Amino acid sequence: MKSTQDKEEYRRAYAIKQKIEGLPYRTIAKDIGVNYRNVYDWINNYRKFGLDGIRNRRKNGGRKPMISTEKNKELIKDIVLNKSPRTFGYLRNIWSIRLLAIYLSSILGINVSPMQTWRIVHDLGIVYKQPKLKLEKGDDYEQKKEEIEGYKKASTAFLKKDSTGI
Amino acid sequence: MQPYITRTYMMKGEQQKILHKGTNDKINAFITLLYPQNRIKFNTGKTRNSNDFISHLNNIKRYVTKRNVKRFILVIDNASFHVSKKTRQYVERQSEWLTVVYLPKRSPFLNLVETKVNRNLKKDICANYVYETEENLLCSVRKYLRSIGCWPKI
Repeated sequence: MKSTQDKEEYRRAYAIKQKIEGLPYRTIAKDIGVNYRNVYDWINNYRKFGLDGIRNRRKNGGRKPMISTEKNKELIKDIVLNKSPRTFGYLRNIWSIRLLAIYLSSILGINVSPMQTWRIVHDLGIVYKQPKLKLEKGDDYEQKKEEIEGYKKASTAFLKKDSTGI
Repeated sequence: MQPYITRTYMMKGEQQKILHKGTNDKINAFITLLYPQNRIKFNTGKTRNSNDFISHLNNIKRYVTKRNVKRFILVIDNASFHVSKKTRQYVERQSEWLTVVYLPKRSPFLNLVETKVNRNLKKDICANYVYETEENLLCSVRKYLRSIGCWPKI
């Protein structure tokens, strides 16, 4: 009962719970606000099929998505994260939402609006933020670091000698 | 070449890292927007002195004499090589075809090159990409400026 977020499923589970406790059909129906014949049907379905008898069957309704299918979502994720627009012939380094919309509409053959592409990118968990600049270390990085630390030690030793000598 | 850094798209909770090799060389470009011809004239080079600016003005003079334009009005900001003694002497000598209008000090929002070309160029081409040599950068900058081609209406 607690795991569902659907209100109709919750209603049916509530009716079955009250029936197990021993209440008659008509009082359950009055409590929920439906006809008592519906409660008969729910409990008959529960006896036949178990919990699957209560589940809502209307999940796969409505028009199927044309642009935001899972196949296209993986394609968009691969394009935005791994490939630069230079590889597709645009003179740019960074993707913008408008450019992505133009490129997607050329691939899919459907007119894709910038708002729709933003929605898909936002659902994938991709955010717009600042990268970090880092220095690439060469092969002789550690050798030079040791040399500089050696100079530092020597200079401190000289300073101590001068202060005590004079 | 050390890149200019702006925001990009990455996964939530991760930060992209851009590697570069400590050098900080730069390339300079003189850009003028021609109105009402809807064209861009530009010169690129390593330095930006008053000598380079005068050579850029000579390029414009060649363009003007070909088209038989009576008078050319140039609007520029107060950069040090625009205001120097050398360029002012040059402008006085070329007063037959050239008049110069200086913008008020510290007002880059009035400069159309700054707002319409430089901003997009920096964002599109110089950002988040490490060019290995100077020639690659020069090539892509020239290509971009030619691709704009006319007065940018962005």
